[in-house]
Amino acid sequence: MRFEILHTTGYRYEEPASEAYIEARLTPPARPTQQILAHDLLFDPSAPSSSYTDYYGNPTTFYSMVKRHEHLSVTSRILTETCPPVLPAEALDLSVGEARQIFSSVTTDVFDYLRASPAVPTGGEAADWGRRWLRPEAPLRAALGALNGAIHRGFRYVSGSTENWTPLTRIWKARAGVCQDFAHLMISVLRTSGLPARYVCGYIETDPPKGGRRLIGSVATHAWVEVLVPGMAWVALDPTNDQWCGEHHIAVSFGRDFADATPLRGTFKGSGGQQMKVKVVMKRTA
Amino acid sequence: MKAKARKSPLWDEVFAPDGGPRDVYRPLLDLILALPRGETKLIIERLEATMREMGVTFDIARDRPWGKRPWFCDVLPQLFGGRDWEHLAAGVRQRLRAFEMFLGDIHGKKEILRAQVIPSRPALGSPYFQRPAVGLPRPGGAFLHLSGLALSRLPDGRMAVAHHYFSNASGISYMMQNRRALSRVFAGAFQDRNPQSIADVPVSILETLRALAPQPTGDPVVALLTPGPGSRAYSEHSFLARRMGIPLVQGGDLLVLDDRLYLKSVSGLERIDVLYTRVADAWLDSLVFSRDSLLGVPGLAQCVRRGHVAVANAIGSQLADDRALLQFSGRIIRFYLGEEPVLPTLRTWWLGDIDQRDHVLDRLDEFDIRPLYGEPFAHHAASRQDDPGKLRKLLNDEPQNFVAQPRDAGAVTVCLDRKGALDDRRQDHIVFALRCPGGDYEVFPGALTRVSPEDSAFTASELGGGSKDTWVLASDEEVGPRALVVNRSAEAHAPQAHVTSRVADSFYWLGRYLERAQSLAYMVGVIESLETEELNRAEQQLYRPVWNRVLPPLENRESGRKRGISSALERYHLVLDGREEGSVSSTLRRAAWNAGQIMECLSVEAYGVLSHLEGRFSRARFRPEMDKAGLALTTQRFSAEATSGIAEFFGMAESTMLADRGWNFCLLGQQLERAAITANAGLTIFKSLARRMETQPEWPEHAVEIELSAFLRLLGSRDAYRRVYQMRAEPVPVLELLYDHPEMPRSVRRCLGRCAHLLGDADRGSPGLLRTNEAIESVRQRVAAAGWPAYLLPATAASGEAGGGVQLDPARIGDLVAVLTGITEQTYAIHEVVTDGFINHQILLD
Repeated sequence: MRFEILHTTGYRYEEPASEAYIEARLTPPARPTQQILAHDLLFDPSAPSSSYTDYYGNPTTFYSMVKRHEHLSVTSRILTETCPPVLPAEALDLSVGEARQIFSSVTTDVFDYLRASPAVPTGGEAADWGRRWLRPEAPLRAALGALNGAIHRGFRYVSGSTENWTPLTRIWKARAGVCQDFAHLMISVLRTSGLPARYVCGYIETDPPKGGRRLIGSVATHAWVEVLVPGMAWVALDPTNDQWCGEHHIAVSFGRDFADATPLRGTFKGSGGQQMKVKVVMKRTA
Repeated sequence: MKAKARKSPLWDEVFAPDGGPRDVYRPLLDLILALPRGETKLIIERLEATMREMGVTFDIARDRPWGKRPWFCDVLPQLFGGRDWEHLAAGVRQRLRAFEMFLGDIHGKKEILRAQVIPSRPALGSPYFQRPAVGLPRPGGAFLHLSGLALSRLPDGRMAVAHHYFSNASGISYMMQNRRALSRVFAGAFQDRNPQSIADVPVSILETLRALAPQPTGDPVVALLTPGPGSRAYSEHSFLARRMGIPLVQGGDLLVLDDRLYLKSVSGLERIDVLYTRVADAWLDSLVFSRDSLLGVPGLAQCVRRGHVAVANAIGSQLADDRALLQFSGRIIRFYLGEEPVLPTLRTWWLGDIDQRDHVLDRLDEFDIRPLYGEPFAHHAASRQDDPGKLRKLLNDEPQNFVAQPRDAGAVTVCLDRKGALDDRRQDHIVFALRCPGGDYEVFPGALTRVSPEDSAFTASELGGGSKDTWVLASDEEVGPRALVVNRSAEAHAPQAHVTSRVADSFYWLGRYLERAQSLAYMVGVIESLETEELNRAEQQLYRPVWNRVLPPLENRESGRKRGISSALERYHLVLDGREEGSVSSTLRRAAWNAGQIMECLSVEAYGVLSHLEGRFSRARFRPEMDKAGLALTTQRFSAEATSGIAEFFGMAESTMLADRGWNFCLLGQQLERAAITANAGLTIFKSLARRMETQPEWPEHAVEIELSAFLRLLGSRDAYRRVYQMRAEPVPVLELLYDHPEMPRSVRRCLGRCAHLLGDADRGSPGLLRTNEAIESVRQRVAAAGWPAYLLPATAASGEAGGGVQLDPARIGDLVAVLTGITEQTYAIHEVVTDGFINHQILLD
């Protein structure tokens, strides 16, 4: 499938800002499931920007604006062609217990995705969920699908119900959240059970396919989970929509949790505060 | 000498088991104990006085880094024999080599973890392992350049490593200050004993830092980044920057443009090549590390990544100081160097490991509990240690954040009291080392020896209240008569080469607020007298609204807020109410706040005058319920005090401080504020005359004179007027005096002329200066071109006096008000130009 995505973030200041610095993780990587036909990133007011690849492999753009300015916007335009993933069948046929065993012998390499991270604590209720849904004898494919579905059913999607920094313990209690929380919950269960997992930030198709249901998470950026399976391959699941990720998902950035993969991080200096507005428009072009 | 009998299981630093002094201490102890008691007392007092005196610039009293008692330096130094020291220094160098390799490995291939020499969790799970630091270029190819390390004696006398301060050599200034103080007051002790000199330490550090510049330039710019005056170690940062002659900067002083780091200084943007940071890794760059940090510089990591600036110690170094790793020191040394550790490590239990936690919790009172990094126990958690219940809860809630070390570490030493008696104290040592270009380390021959306060219930040495100068004797064999080594040449402070925009900004506002407070205090004092002495009720009614607007304008001129001056109570508020915006009291407080931001740039004397004055106001009892006479009296007393106190501050500053570029910004603020107050006052008074001419054409001429005369008095200019004009107050001479007189201290012309002069000294030829000079010049030309007599009625039409008329022409007064309005607005506008030109550099960036 071919998509055109326009992702605009606007900052409005109460008072003109004297300095603004931004790190953007908005450049989608080329992967077997997504070919990037075109991508550009525009900053207004314009200023030279520079790029690097961060610790998690994300192409990252640094922008600094040190002239007084009244508003700032970042626009990312993506043209991409997606195809369904080819899942690593052999790995997914292994049992949860076998996978756990394999990863416990390479902890140094998978440490980041196996341990608690700032926004994703491990243990607690996640351990109960792990025992229930990730039984050692269950094949990975079935267990992951079951956990994905259980999170989907066990938590309500309530738009705007949480902030970026709502702690996961509160989500466990409230049994409701947004896609970021669904992803964090699932990552917490996976890591607690010894399976490495990471957070993915990206887009999901806006328009409902004919006769299909509208997918949640389509007004802004979306978030889901990738699980590392033996053979060091990542497989992607979307607990918010209870599905294995497919051609409707476009991945942009990765990390241990939201904090690592956040699309825009900014620091603004000036006498007033600022408001951020995000708009994502996604069109299927073929 | 009296032998000392001891029961303590701890190592005795000074006395041997037989009760006599150890060999290395014997000569010095004999000398000290043989001093007449009066002389001992004198030396101690002079030492205290010297520490206090240094403490003012060095500000020990304010930050007291290791305890609540004032800092002291003992008369008896800590002595290390040459061979002893060589062993210790070899151990320090070995450890630094190993941990440098460890840092490189963890931020790279992680071989030590793959080989399972140490577990992954304390390394990769450390809160000080900064993932964004992976892959950043390291200055000179290394993480650690200037490091500290804490040593304690074990009960058997061996020196053991207790803490790593590899990333942050905190305390190094105390080592230098102690030597300066002791050598000053007790030079006799140094005679023939030949301690190795540490006078070159600042120069060595500076040379090392300069060599780290990523791109070869003739003259690399090095700056020291501090968290600011809120930091407990601020005085150390300020001391080091001064001794190295490099700018002391805070995050807000720097900006990132084109992936390069710049210092905002009054001369414009200056490229920084090397940043010596005393800000913890996590706060260095809010885009990459902790996002709510205001201490660092957003974009700094990108500048490092692109090789445009060197940050030392390298970002990520803090990992080496995580106390959870201390217990693996031996393995780390063996793994990377293939050597046995020269120095043992003080046994350290990491409570994140459940077995170690159980071991410690079973016998908690045998341990000192410490966080993974730093010394916060001196602040909040010491009380927890007093309360075992709370401490246990903390250790159960977040065990991974704490380590435990045995309490029976650290030697016993003695300190001299005023009577010449010896008191027992506990002690430890922090030694410091600098990386040499070849990759080895130079261990400075000295230390910060910390000793416990006499009344401390704690054995934890970092809670100590004092210190000892620490001598490394040349070598055991070589002790002999050699020249007294007291290097004074390095004591001269290097001049402050750069005035950062933040310092200039604080100076500027200090000047503005002081001028504003002084003018307001003076005016209110005059009004109080006029109210009671000279004017009748009708005149009071008439003038009050005008006077109100003559007062120095509020910060936000558009707010339209009015201040009351009509009653004694309102005037009392205007002077003494600290909560009223724009009162003398609150304006002084703002001035003092700005002074506090740049304390290290002010002389002790000048700062003292200001803090005394501000203290008088902030401590004054606010009693609006007093009767009218009481209110009036208090208002007048405090007005007078502010007026003379502020004048005293400027006088004291000018006679005790360098008239450097920073100070010029204080005078600039003062003169610009004064020009604006005068212009605003002039405009107000002539607007009032214009309105009266319009509404009451029959207004008698002598009433104009009374009003102008009172006005001159408000501005403190009546005597000057009489001296210049020797006539009653008339419109044109008043205008000339206030706007155009070259010698009148309040005149717009003189104030702006001084502004131009001050800036000329500040910097030549920057775009900011050019624009500011243009703005000033344009006001001065407008004043010069005003042609005041043209606004008078022709002589014949008025009183017919010789030499022209004195009455304003009703047909032209509107034009006059327009001219005065223009001058006032333009004067205010200079402020924006100064700010954009020197403080935030918008003009430069255009």
